[in-house]
Amino acid sequence: MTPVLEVERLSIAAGGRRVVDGLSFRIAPGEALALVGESGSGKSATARAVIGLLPPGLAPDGGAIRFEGAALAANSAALRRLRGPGIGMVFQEPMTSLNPAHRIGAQMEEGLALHTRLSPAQRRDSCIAMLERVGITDPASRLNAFPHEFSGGMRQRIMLASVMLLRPRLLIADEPTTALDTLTQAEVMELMSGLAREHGTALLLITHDLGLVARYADRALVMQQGRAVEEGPAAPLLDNPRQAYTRALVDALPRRGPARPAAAASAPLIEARGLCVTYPKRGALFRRAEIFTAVDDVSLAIHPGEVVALVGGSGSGKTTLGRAMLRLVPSSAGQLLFRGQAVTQRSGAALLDFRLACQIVFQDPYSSLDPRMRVRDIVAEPLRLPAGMPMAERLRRAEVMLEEVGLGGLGARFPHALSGGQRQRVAIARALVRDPAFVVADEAVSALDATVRKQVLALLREQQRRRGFACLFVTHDLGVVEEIADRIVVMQGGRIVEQGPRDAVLDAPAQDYTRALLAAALRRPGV
Amino acid sequence: MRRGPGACGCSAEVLSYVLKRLLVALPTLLLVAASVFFLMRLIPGDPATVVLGDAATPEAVADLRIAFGLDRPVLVQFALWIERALGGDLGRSITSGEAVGPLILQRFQVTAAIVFASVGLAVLIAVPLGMLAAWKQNSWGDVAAVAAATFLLSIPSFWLGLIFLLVFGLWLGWVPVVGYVTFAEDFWGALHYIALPVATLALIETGVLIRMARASTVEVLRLDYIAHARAKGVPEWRVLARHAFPNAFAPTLTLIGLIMGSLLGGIAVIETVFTLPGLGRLLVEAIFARDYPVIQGVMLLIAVIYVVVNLVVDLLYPVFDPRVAAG
Repeated sequence: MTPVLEVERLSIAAGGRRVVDGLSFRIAPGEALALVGESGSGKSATARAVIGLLPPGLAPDGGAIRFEGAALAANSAALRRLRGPGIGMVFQEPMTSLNPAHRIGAQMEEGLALHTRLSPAQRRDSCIAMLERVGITDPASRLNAFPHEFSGGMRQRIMLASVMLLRPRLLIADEPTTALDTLTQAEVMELMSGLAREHGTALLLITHDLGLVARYADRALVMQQGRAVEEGPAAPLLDNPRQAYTRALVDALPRRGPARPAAAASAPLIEARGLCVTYPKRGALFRRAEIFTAVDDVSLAIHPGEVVALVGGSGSGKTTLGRAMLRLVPSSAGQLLFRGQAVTQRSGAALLDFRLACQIVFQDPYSSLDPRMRVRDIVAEPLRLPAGMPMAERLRRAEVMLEEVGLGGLGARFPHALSGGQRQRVAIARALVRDPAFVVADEAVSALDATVRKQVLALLREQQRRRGFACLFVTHDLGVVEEIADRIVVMQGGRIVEQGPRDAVLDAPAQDYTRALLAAALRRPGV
Repeated sequence: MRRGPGACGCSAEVLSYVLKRLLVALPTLLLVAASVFFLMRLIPGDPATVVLGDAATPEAVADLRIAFGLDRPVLVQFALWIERALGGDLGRSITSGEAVGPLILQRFQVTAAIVFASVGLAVLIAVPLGMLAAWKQNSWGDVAAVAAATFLLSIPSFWLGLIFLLVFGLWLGWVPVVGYVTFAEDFWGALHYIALPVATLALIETGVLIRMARASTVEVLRLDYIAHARAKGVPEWRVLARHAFPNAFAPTLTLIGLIMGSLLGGIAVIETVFTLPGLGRLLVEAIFARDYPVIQGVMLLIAVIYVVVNLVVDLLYPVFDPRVAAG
């Protein structure tokens, strides 16, 4: 049988460097192949090359790509006709992959108008049917909506619908769910592999996530620095990796550590009592804005030295709660106590006392560090308060801290000269440099590759054990929680729906929502 | 679903929005009026002395000051002026005795004709050119477009105007060098008179707009929805026209609004070079003559122009970017 896609000794160059180097693989009709690798492995460039959409700066540098036996010439009219009905592509970022200026109906129909002879009414009908298939309620009226009226998960469904509408023989999915929370991720992946199976579409899945591979691919090809490391049927390859690199990837999947003895019955370090956070919704003209309750009457106590994981899907209010506990967002009702003292109304020096004892590590290491400051100045900055420590001493402590997080000697660099993982280490160093009593880690490892994530998590855990700070670890991924948490708190719709010691929640979840989160979590296969 | 008012372009909602915006602008206008009024009186020099010349006797100056109402306390003068202005009477010019309101409107027509024509022309040239340059980023065509834009930006308008007058007015004799007729009097004649000033302004604004259109198109072309459109098999011209244009044009629209505002407020240099009776020249002459009523009237009009232009831009914005709904 002719393979749908045949890539032979493909090389792609960026300037003088090869980002893909002599890569070969084939995909049979209806087969699902996963290209697995970390950032910079060349997997996305390969996907873009197949559909002839390499970003500027990248160019093919030898090799051949054949679709259903025929060679693909770059930029030819034949390739353009193939895009859509032959090869479809789903992109990573649902927030930017639909055109904000056009209604989704118009965007979906565009492909049909280009590639089929359907009448406008027929096109509309197939759009409605496909939207219904991907689980959009009231599809007929939603056709008139603009992309910004949908959530990220909904947009990714719409994207999938608009691509599958043309019944392509090959679907390329480039990290299709990386930007989504765990629950939505699982739903979209199920939908995608289901649709591919229904239409007999072959799937080229680009991912850094081995959890996805185990579940949704027939075969996997592991890439490292532009070359194939290992290829084979997905399940055996993950269970029994032959190559060291593949093994490292598999080992990077979260694994549960031994439970620590429960914190002694000490007084809570920080405690929320009936905390509420509300936002005015954007109101229409002249109409009173409605109130949106992000955090709804939440009570949560964290003891000294305890690591509490706060878990929930997007919109569950977990990030808002984390920030409210640092008073980074104002609460509308309830109380916040720190070491038994109310801090809800504090201001001036008293508030500063509280602030100095608490720190936060943000999700995105690209935007949480000032690009114009050197790394050592970033880490030294928290030491400026309270005033009095001489500059030389601040810088000395910053260097020691950088040493501790494994960035010794990099203090003179700017953030842009560091990798994502290194930047997150800087963010951690900045949070820990003044020995805080309480740290909020807001999705602190979600933006990182699996192996880097493992290292950064290990660093966080080691620092936590050594310094003994209490930590609220906000995440959508239960898999990450296994490694680090003492206690798990599950949030849904602004409320806490379940909480308890880690093993109890993971092994015997009491709520359906927790069970769904658990099922969707990408954990080590077979564990 | 929610729509921007510009997107549906009908409904009472738009009207109420416009009214609300204009009401909100009233304090701004009052502030402008007050600051112009008092700042003008801080400048040394007195209209009566300017009108009467160096040889005037102190008595004659004092009489004229009384006739102009300049002998009263400044606050009283201000209150009187505001009261009349609310009734639509902006006073009379101290130098010519003409009613300020009609005078300003008449001069504004000249400026507006030139500005609308030149900005329109500039947009028609610059936006497609900028988008093409971005599409072919780093090609020789792109480099040439950027170089041309930078060159146009750096030419002083008076110099370009003088060169145009020299070439097309004197050497080729295609257009008259001095004078102006209104469109109402003689449409073709008026076109001849405004051709050179419009061309001058258009070329210079083209420089700014090419750069803006190019920069925002480069941004947009990088986004996934452009790749998505291409991955659907959409032809390149359609990718540009349908997917890139509306998104790239929105930021340019803001710039066009700013340009329109500042140009409508006066293009004194261009008007002087081409001896056109426009608003800018009127303002400059009035300032030299300390013609307080005219200056105040013109400044007030300029403030109104800014308010209106910004309002129009805000109303148009949702057409190109539906995420921005008025409210």
